[in-house]
Amino acid sequence: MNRAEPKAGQRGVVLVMVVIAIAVLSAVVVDFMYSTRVSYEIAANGARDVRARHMAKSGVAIVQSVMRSAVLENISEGAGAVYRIESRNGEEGWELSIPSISVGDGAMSVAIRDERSKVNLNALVDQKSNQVDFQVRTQILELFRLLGVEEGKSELFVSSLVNWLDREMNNLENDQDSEGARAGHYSKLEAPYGIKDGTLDTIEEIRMIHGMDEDFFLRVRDYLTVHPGDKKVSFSTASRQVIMSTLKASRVSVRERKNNPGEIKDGVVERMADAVVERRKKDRVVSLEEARKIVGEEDSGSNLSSGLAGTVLETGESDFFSVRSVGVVGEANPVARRVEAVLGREKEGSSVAVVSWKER
Amino acid sequence: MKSASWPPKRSGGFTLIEVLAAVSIGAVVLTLLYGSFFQLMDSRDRVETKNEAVGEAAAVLSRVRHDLLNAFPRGRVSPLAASARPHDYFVGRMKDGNSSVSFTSFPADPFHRSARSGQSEISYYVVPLREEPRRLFALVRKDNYRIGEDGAGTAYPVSERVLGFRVNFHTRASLGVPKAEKIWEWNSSVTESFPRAVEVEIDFETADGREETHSALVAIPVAE
Repeated sequence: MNRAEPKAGQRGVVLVMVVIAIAVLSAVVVDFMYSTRVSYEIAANGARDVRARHMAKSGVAIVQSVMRSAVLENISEGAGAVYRIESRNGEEGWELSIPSISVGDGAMSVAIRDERSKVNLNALVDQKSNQVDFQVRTQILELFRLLGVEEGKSELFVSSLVNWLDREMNNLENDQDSEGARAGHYSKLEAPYGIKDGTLDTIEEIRMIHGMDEDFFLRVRDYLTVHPGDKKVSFSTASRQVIMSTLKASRVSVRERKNNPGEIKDGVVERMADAVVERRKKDRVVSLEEARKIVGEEDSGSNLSSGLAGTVLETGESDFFSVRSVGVVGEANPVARRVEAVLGREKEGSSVAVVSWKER
Repeated sequence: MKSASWPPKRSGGFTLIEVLAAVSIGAVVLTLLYGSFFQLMDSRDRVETKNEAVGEAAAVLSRVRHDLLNAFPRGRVSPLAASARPHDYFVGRMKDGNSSVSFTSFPADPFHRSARSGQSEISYYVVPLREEPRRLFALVRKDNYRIGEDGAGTAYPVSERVLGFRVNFHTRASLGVPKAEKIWEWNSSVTESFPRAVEVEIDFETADGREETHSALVAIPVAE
């Protein structure tokens, strides 16, 4: 062929255009891939979230179904093919945990504590008669003393708690404790709020009450509850401090303010609490009858044993447990969801209800 | 003869026929590409607006769901609570075709440090934004940890493209019954209970002006 050579200036035009086209296309493709990847990650994360949430929920459901048929306090360490149960019961009280159950590419862990192992703040004021239960008052004050809270702070808080719980009814006075904060105190705050005049719904609610501060709260919160239907404490699961304060409370009478829990020496209740802790290492459930025997052995002279009927759980088998269940899904970008629930066994029958539910 | 050689020696040009052929082929190809290109862009836009609406709906509904899951009967958790007093821990109303709900809950809000008790009164309601061409609302979530103090709490819109917000309630009996009559009002101080489940329906206006309805059915754990 006899074609003319292209002029020098035209050389490489095609190459440049192709390079530009490829660059533009690459940018488009990269952008597309990026946005696809982001959408995919969002969707995958959502899916992991749903699975983690259901895993945490099923942890609570497991405990609920076990509660129907078994006595949780009696469950001892066991190793299964799928999971391991750890049960601890010493001076610090009782805790049952299943460290990890793996399901697919996720895992679930469950920890159970007994609400009957704690002091019930709602029992301080009877909601029907509006009267202060001085056994509970003593129990709370003694517990705070054992936990190292200053006496003045404890007194102020407990008096304010009485006013927080009580209410006007049948000619009975509202805000009956003159030592504690009354409704007027809360309405004069910078960010005012109303006094409850009713039972507590969560233990965190005490942070709204005058006299409670952060350090105080962190010190006492693990020993207090709002859930059971009376003041009775289970000696199968309670911590040493709760047992001691309950024993002291058993000595005072329910209706009289002039009580002296100091009449019974710390050393004596300490020995009794140690004996209870020692006993439950062998027999996991400590009933009222057992508790009486132990108390009688330690100090036969005291009239403590009769007072125990009102303050110690008869069967030693609790009806309220709190469950903390965590579900984790995914290895590279794990998603964790947590459910904190309180389960209560109904008085008649074996049905177990969800009393409180917090999902995070 | 002007030139001695015919056909003339080609010097890098094209004949008219060649150019016409190339242009017409190019025109046909470009027309095809043009059509499908804009169709593609169109559907991409549509999918994107839909995605956006779905994303917003998912975020709003997940917020509502979370608040409902953590609902608790204030003043009623303890079995020691006296039963003589009515409690309004869950109230749902319907007015002019839109709902409002208000209930006590444990919202997990990291910015909420002042809510020392962890308890709050959560409300959802609509506020009109414009009337024309059709009524548009903002869906507002209000969080008040000073329960019972009217006027307290923080309120902010969770969505500003809401055409309708409807909430209906299920009792244990009505749940799962097909064509059961819907319950639009709930007052816990009358029923002394939570609804077993809550169905939330939100109509969103998409960016291109269409209406899309998203819904969620939430079972309240403590109502079991």
